[in-house]
Parts: sequence; structure tokens; C-alpha cells
Amino acid sequence: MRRTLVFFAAFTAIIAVSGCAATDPRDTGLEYAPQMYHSIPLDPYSQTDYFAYTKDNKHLIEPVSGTIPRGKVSYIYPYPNTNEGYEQAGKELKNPLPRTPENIAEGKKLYEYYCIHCHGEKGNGLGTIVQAGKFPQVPSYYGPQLRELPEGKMFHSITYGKNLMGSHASQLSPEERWKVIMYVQELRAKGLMEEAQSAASDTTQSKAKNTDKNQDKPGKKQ
Amino acid sequence: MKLTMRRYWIVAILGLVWAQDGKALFQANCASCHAVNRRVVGPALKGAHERWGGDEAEMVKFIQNSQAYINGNFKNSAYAKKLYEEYNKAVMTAFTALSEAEIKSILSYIKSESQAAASAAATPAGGGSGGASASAEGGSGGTGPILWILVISLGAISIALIISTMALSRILRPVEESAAPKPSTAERLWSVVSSRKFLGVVSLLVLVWLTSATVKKARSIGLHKGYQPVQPIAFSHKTHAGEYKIACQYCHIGVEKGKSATIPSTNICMNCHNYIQEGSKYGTKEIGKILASWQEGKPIEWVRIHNLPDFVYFNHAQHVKVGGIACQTCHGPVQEMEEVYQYSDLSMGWCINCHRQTKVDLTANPYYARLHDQLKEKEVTVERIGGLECSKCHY
Repeated sequence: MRRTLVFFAAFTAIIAVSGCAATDPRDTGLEYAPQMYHSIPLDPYSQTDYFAYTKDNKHLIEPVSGTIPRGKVSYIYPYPNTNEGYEQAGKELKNPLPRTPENIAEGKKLYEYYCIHCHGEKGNGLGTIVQAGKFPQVPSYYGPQLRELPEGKMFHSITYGKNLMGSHASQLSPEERWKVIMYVQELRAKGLMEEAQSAASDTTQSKAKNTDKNQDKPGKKQ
Repeated sequence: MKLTMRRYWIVAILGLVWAQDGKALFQANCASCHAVNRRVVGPALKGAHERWGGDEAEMVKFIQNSQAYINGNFKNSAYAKKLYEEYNKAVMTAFTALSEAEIKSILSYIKSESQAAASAAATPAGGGSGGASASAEGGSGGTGPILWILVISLGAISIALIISTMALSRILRPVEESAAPKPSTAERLWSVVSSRKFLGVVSLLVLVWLTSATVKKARSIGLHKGYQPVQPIAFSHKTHAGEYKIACQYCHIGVEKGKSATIPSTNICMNCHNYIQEGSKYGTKEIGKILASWQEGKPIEWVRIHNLPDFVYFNHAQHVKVGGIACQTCHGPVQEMEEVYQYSDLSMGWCINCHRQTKVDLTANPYYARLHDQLKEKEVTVERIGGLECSKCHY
């Protein structure tokens, strides 16, 4: 009886120990038939030593200049990244998409992916990284600087970037940019309305809101 | 020296209340392009008063409409024009909306800040803020418990062996006692060790060990759960996705659009890190690698963690956009991971199990209307709409 118990204990212990091999998280582990795991044609982001796309051995490459990828015709943007281009875009560029609840909802989703951590949930420029003190405060959509920003200038800024904001053209397609702009306009209207309401409610605190001749941010040449 | 210091303090205290108001205005209107102590988009504002000859009236004019000031014929127009040229003709916003009093309160904030910076620079830097916070957090915490398990089970084995040796020696003793001279301890031990019973037990145990280890190792072939390679940059998902709540999609832009979730190219890092150039943990060491990649135009060579075999097709958009599955379902709590590891085993059984259990939302997709009529007697799982077909994944 005691012997069976002893043997049983030894078996369990041995099985437990045998399972403890190969737990190094840096170890890639074993692969059966690796040629079935790694394709011969290159997958996205695969890195090889025996073949490189470019002379300087880069695998992440920019499109050939002067070419348009299939299905990316809408990426053509005529206004140059200059002060003049910015002004011109502000005057001429209009949103081609209809203002539907679906587009605005999609814009909200995209805003939460790509804008919210700087511009904030309400568009007041107090996003999470601003509140953490990591990034300087960005202008509010309904503050004096951006209160009257035309949509063309918004599109231009998303495409090329503006001041500290980098270009988001690689993250948002032109259609997505317009959807985001629709949602930004919603936020701005909401912010202006709330501001007007609070100004109306406490007229005693008459800090002139300067609703007259405000200017948006003129351009910056890169 | 003492006198000037005192004067500074008086100015600072007098200006404090006003400067606080100025700080809020500065944050809301100026901070996106200017900082007091460093060049951002526009110049550092430290010592701006000296550069403008202390003439606040002129500064107010410039701030209210910089372009008019540059092109006009004011006291400092030449200097303003030079600045404009120096900063690549970046136009400073015209702040017509700010009143003169508001601008002056901003200016007094800038003044008090630059004085604070100057006096901080004058006092000898106390101690220095410790060189590169050392302690690279010891080995990954996972090895500790495993070591203990090893030690304990080895101990258990040796105890079991000792007990079984004793039991066996007791069994064998009567046979030995028949021999006339009492054998020495070494002889007795040898006779136990060389006995067939003992050897049988030991070889049985070794066999069990080998079988068990082989089975376990064989089962782990091709599965890389827990794989956590060293990345070229000590990027923390915990900081970015957890603390600052940046959406996964901000960097992994392809996740709703195509097969790959995509690894961000350096320009996406630079959207924030053109300003944030010093990290809280590693200082400029790690972020410096991003800047170097950006300046040299060389992609960062991240190490791939998740890799499905070539004979399996997996599409992120299909699962995230259509299926509405959260990233964490498969990738685990990435927002809590300082260093990312493979959370799921990505085995076929793991895929199949999810397809067996996941219910399809039939109301949101008209494609399923017809299928629905055929299937609605029973619960509709992914399996029932072809989720287990071989060619769904293998083609």
C-alpha cells in the first residue's frame, strides 16, 4: 500500500517536472515543417536577408512618385502645402459627402480612434495626453482660433498636418477625413451652443465672448 | 545680485495672480506652437521681453496681427520679419479676439516663467536627477514560480527515491542475513542499487519522464503562446493604450481595412513624438531611436510576435469590422502589457472553438436573411454557416 503511494507520488512529480521545460518567453519554440509556416512569396512585414525590394534594403517603401495605386484616385489633392494652398483650400474645397446620420456616426467612431486623445471628447483640446501633461493644449474647436474654420482648411490640416499636429493622411482616407470633419463640426456646434447658453445664464460675469470678427488660423509653410 | 533677486521676487509675487490667468490663456491659445523654454513650432519665449526691448505695447500689436506687423512699418518690424523668415514663413495666428489686457496677462506669465527658468539655471543644479533610472526590472517575472515548482518536485522525487530504496532494502535484508559475515554498508547499498527490482523501478520512472516530456514538447510544436521577443524599442503598450487611452486603431490602421492589422510606420510615431522627445522611464534613449529612424528614413525593424502558418488565411477586417470582435479577445489585455507577448495559442482548436460558440448577428446583415429562414430552428453558430469548412482557412 505504502509502496503504491510512493510510486504514485514519484510519477506525478516526474510528470510535473517534465512539463516545465522550454518556458523562455524569448524562445520562438519549435516549428514542424517551417517551410509551411513561412511562405516563399513575401508576406506583408516579412523581413528577409536574401531579397530586398530596394537598394538600401528597406522593406517598407514609399509608392513610386507619380503613380496612383489602384482605387486611390480620391487621394489626389490639388492644393500644395503652403500658406497659399491652405487659404485656397479654405475657399474652394467642399465636403462631397452627404450629411447623413450614418456618416456622422462613422465620423464619431473615427474621431475616437484618431483625434480624441489630443482634441478631447468634446473637442475642447483637453484630450488624455494633454491632461496628462505630455502634450501642450491644442486649440478648442469652438475657441477663438478655430470657431470659424472652414471645412476645406480642416481637410487641408488633416492631410498635411498643422503646427504640432502631424499629417494624418496615412491613417485616414479622404472619405474618412470628410466624415471626421462632419463630426468635428457637430462638436463645434454643440460647444458653441453650450457656451452661448452658459453666457446667457450668467450675464453678471460679463467676460466679452468676442463672437464678432474672429479669424481662423492662417497657414504655415512646412 | 541680492538686490536684483529681491526685485525679481517682488515682481513675481505682484504678477502672480495676473500670471495665473495668463497661464490659462497661454495654455489655450499659445501652447500649441510655443513653449517658454524650448523651440516648438515657433521660438522659445524665454527672454522675449529683452529681445523686444521691453516694449509690451509693440508685442501686443504683433500678437494681435503678426502679418500686419511684419509687413507694416512698426518699431520692431524688421526684427519680426527676420523671425518670420527664420521660421520658414510660418504664419502666426492673428489673435484679434484677445483684448490688450488678456495679452498683457499672457506676457506677464511668460515673464515670470522666464525669470523662474533663469533663476533655476543660476542656482547650481542640485545633485542631478540621477543617471538613467537603472534596474532593468530583473528577468521576466514568469521564471520565478517555475523554478520553485522545479525545486519542489525534484525534492519530492528524491524523497520518494530514498523511501523506495529503504523499502526495497528492507525487503532484501532477510536474504542477505543468511550469509555469515555481516556485509558493509557500501556492499549492502550496492546490492540494493544493482537489484533488478530497483533498476526496474528507476527505468520505469525515467521512461515516464521521457514520455511525458516528449508528449508535452510535441504538443507545443508550432504553438508560440507566451512568445515575447525583445523589440528594438522598449515601447510600452501599457503607457500608450492603457494610460493615455490611445485607440489601438490609431497606430494599427489596417485592422478594419484589410488582412493585416499593420505595424505603424515611423510617421505615425512622429505625430506625437515630434513634440514628446523625452520619456518618463528611459529619457531620450528609446524615443531617440524613433527620431533617428525618422531622420535617416529607415524603418524600425520590429520583431514579429504573431505568425500564423502560411497555409492558414486570417483576415483582421473580417473579424474586427464585420464580426465586431474586440482586439483583446484574441490579443489579451494589451493595454496592461509593458511588453507584448502572444496571449492566445492561435492553434486550430482555438479558432474552431470560437467559431463553434460565436453567435452570428442575423438582423444586421441582409446576406443572412435567406440563411436565417433555413436555419432558424436552431441556434446559428459560425460553424453552421460554414465556419468549419476546410477551405475557409486553408487555400
